[in-house]
Amino acid sequence: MKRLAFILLFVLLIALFTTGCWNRRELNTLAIQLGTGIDKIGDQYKLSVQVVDPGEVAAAKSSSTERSPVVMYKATAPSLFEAYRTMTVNSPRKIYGSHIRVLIIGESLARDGIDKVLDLFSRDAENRTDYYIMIARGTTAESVLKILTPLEKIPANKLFASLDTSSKAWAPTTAFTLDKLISQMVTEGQHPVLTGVIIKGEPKLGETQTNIKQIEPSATLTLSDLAVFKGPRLIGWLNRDESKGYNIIMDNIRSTASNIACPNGGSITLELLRSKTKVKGKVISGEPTIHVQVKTEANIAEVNCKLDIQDPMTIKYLENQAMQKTIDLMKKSVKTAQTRYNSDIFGFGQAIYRSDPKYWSTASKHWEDLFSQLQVKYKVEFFIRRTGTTGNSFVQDIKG
Amino acid sequence: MNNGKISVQQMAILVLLVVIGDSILIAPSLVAHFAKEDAWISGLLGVVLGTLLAGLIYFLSRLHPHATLVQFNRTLLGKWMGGIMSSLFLLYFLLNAAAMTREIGDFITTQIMPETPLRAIHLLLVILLMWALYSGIETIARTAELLFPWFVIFFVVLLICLAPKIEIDRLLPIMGHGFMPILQGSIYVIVFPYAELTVFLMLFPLVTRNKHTNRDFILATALGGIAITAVILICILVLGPYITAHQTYPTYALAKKISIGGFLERVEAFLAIIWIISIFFKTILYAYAFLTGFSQLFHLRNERILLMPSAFLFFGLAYAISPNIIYYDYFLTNYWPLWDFTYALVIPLVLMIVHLFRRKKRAHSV
Amino acid sequence: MGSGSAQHRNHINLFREALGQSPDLIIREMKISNTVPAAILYMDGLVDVQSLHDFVIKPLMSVKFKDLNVVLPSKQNLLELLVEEVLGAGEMEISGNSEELIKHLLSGNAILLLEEKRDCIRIKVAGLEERNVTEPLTQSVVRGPMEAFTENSQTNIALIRRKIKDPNLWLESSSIGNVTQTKVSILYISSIASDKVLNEVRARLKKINIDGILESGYIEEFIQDKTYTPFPTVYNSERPDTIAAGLLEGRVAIVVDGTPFVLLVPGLFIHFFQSSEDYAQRSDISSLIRLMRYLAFCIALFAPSLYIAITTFHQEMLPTSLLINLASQREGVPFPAFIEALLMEVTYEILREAGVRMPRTVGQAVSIVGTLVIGQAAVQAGIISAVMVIIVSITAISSYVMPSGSMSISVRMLRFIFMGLAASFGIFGILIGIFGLIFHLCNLSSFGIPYMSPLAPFIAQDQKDTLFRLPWPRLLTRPLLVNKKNIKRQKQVK
Repeated sequence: MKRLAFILLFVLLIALFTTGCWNRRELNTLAIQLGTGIDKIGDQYKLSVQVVDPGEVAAAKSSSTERSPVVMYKATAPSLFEAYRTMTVNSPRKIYGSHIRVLIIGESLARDGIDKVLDLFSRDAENRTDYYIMIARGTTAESVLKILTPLEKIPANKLFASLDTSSKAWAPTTAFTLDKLISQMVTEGQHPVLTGVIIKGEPKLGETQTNIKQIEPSATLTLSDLAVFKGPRLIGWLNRDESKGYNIIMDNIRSTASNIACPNGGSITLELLRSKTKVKGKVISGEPTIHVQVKTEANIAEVNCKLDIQDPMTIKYLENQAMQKTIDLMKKSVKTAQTRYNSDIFGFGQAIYRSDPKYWSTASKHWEDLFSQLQVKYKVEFFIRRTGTTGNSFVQDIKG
Repeated sequence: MNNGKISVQQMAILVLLVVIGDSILIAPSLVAHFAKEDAWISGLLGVVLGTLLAGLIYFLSRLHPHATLVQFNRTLLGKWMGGIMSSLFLLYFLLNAAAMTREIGDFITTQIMPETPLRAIHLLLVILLMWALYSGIETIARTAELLFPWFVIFFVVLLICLAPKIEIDRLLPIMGHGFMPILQGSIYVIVFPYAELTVFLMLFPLVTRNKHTNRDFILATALGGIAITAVILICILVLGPYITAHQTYPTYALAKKISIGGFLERVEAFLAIIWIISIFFKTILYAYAFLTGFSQLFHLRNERILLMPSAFLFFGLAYAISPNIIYYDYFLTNYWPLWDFTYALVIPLVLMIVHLFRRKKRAHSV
Repeated sequence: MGSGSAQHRNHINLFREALGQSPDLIIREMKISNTVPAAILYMDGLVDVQSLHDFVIKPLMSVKFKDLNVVLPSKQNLLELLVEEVLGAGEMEISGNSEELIKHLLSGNAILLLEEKRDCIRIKVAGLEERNVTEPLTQSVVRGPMEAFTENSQTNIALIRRKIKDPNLWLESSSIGNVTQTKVSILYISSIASDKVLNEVRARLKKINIDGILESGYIEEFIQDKTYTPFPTVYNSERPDTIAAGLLEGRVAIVVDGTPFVLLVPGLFIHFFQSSEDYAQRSDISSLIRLMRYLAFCIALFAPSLYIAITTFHQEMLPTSLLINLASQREGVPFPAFIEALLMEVTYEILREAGVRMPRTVGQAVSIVGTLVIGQAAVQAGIISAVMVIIVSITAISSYVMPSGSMSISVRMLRFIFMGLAASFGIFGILIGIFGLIFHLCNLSSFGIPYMSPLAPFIAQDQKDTLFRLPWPRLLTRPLLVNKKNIKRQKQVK
């Protein structure tokens, strides 16, 4: 039986040396794709891929070389996968997709519907689902990916990082990953939104290396407010307040700033620390209603008026003001969704389904009509906890 | 490799691994397909019903505590009928072992190494399988014992790391679609984990029994089912019913979601060790059952001569069992449950009835 | 040389012929009491000349019997008389078996021949030039005894006996090796050691039939359970305290003359991760250090293969910035990662081997060339990426964390197999390799005891001193699997 062991060992050795190149890709044969942009040209898709040049971005090397840190490859084909493979004619290396940071979809394609382009990204084993999806507002995905950015050498990384940071510290933005988007698109009684990205400044100048040599770049990439979808199609945009309201309802707020007017001029800014929103659907005698409950804690961050914030009554007053403001934001947002777009981006239908699946099975067919008439009740509890390191502002005591 | 003895603790671990087996990888998708948000209820229901089924299998083995399935088939049904029955079971063991090998191969080629030919993966697996069978059942049991803590650690890590991603709302509405879908879903929690415990009919005689054997067996089966239910539950909580049902391997998609502090992420290839451990041990036990069953059926003195031929058999069958993954999944969803129930419920019941009948007859004749 | 009868001459010549006229056989002839011709034979260098002179030659020369015929009725008893009244050395024996005598002559005895006598007296005056007890070169500790075994088995046994003053510490000696006649002793505490293991050791030692045993490694290969395995199943140490601790656990020591490395069986997997310092230091730190050793074991075994697998198969596992960093380092490296790793590992092994063998004086030159060539120049020339140097270094360092050298040897070998598996199947290959390895480990046994115990089969009681070590007051019992009798280690203090 020793022989058997040897035979097994032998077979294993043969297996080792004859096989084993199928999935192998050395690091220096990969074109690491960090940003992907998709536009539509006629019936075809135009795929733009931002590939990093590792030699240019590596931490150890000095950044004085003249080469751009990223390279863009483009291809146009009837299907995305085909476009990827067509790309090999001008890329020396195979495009590697596991590290995509952002997927940018041109606005015109988004208005046509994004469903068809997403299948590849969810099917391919190489792709992960942890990158952010954005809409190039008023421009093409290609031109967004062409802008060179300072500080972060890789533009795609810049977009990822700034969306990541701002979704945590600023209410109007929200980060959408592929799986979240897909599950929102397939969930009944729910429509997705996506963050937009805009080019500020001169797009043409932004494409050159000089863009990142200036103290104030000629063109920068900025996150814009939210794009509203109905099904897979983009139908419009929310403004900043509406975006904020959307994020409050969706419980996407981690921290943000909120401004309240003082009774005698000036304003006070609050820093939101925690916010928790619960959306509950209820059907009372055949009438669906939505209850939105918000519980927020905040600190006073900035005082620009003469107000005695050491008086508990003032705090009470501020809390009431803030509460009213939160409700206003949400109301505005819901109203826009109901009247202007008639798209249930808040998943109110889903909330109804969760609380009363029987009612939903009949209501789902004409949910669009029901949604535009939907009663939404708000309840906000707002707590101001601390006033920062000082009490009343020195603004009060400035002489003269 | 025949005369090995395994301790009760080792048996419990093997039972647990067989129960979890391939279910950890495929059950969430199958169950969520029918029961949607209520998949976890299906899971619990499956655990209860499945444990009963496991109890039945266990009870059957206790009727002849010192005989394996093949041996008591002979005493119960006679040389020819018993032989036919045993051959059927051998076919079952063989096909299951091959199917399980295929399942690992399919998983690897779908998720981890898409360009690698299936047969290369199978070759590696079959070599390892032979290596394990060559070492004997005691070594297999000890290896299971050694790997089990890792299995538990990785499993718990998987669950804990996903805790921040849980959204309780995804469970609502509870029983929104009525009871039938739940029942339908629970079939898959009964079949693949529990019905396939039939393989232990070849192993129970090897167990050195102590006073806890019965309790430990039932405990292990229940725990295994609870583990599967936990996976189903976390799939629903993190991925939602839709994605769970539409992913080929939702547990792997689950592992992909892990991201803690920006550094503990992209670890799914490591977590794949969980289901490779459990599926592989299930495969080993089925292969072992096939080998020992074959040698007992034909009274072979040295079963090691079967190693090489059966290696080729497993290798060939694993590839030939299905032309593509769609066929395999279709078969698995629609026909495999019946195939499993035949061997785990119908035939055992028949055997039990024959046993009772014979005993009565013997009592009469005396 | 003229004195004595022809018979006496012949007797002396018998020895001379047996040793092939070797000039290092010294023959000192004399007349005892001026009447009886005698000769003292000894091997030059094997005896202590001083004590030979003081306790053998001097007494013999100075003794003056008044009348031998009066004192002794027959001359036969002159030998006994000499032994009883004249010779001053400790161990001596009257014997007529010339073959035995020659063996004794060669192991440091002087032989006293008397005229007209077949029998001789052998007098143990061994005084081989030997090493002192020094600090151990391997398995050194910060806290703990600083003595090591020497090449002399008697010294070694004495070192152990000094630690265990128990009448139950028994010794069984035999000589193995048809030509070398090496003294091999089994040492055990009879009230603790398992009889099963003991009988197994005796039986396996008895089976050895070889011309020479020059080191305990010879014995080790003969007595281990499985011939073909990269893992050591016999423990060896040059530390008396480690061996004594093993004896107290009920294990059996095998002391081989001529080497400072004493064997200890059964040698289980966990034993190779235990250091004697673990028991001298506080339990918390030694537990942590022990866990770290297992970690180092894994690093030493898997680091290069994981690097290969991740960088050539699973790039998605790396964080993006790290991936870009690694990719930029690999720009221009002409070899695939596997070849690169293989190249570096082999280079390292060559340097290591050279470092061990080369004379001390050139050592520095070689190590400078080694570090500069493989460390710096190769990276700067772009042949090797810098990460690879880091990986190889961490691997090399980790493999020396194991307190026992034998385990790090197996790790060094297995590493290459895992690198091959990683290069062809990535993480999946490594996983299969781990499974295969664990099957192999669980299949091994040392003197009938499963190699992986008490992990598999799992023995809850023995976990107290396996992956971690509980404080001494908690270590109430000896390891369960190794010995079944006399399990209590201490009386529980309330």
